[in-house]
Amino acid sequence: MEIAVYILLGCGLFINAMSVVGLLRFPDIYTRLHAATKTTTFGSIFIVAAVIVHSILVDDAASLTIIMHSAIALVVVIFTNPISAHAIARAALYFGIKPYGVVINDLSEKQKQARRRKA
Amino acid sequence: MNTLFIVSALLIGSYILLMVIRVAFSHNVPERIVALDTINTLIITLMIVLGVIQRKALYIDIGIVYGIISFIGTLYIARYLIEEKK
Repeated sequence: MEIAVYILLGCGLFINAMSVVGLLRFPDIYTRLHAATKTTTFGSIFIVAAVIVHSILVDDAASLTIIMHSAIALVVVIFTNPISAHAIARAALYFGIKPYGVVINDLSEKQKQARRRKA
Repeated sequence: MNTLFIVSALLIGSYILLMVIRVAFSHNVPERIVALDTINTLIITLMIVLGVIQRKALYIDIGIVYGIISFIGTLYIARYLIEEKK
């Protein structure tokens, strides 16, 4: 059963590493949001799964508390991450940042409208 | 088995250092906010791993509260960007 902890922890660390590589290499904010949000959520799921399996295997006084609290932390990550990503994307759109490499910006009219409505 | 979690905590710490480099060398403000949001999620994961190393649930509670507060912070920074551009 110990091999399951190794595999789950390795998967989580690998997916988090992919998120970091994506943030260092991608050209603009919208592609970076794609790399940042989804992969960190998925890596957290794998690491919490490894923690739960390890706590079941060790089975001492603190095991049940650690399992419950890490599950609550996972729920917090899963609920807050997409909402904050959506808020950042909306802020970047109204801030006037074009996607990388666009020649014709289909959203420019919408951005101007939104700014006029705000003013 | 404990060594495995210590090594993974060190790896997550190195990811956080790389994200600090990303915050320092960005072109505009929303890109920095994306890197900060990634740092917040990585710190929650790091707190869970540290709690397993020490066998204390207190670290994981700190991670939960940090996640909620950083979520509110990210929302307000995004709101501030929209209002500032107006």
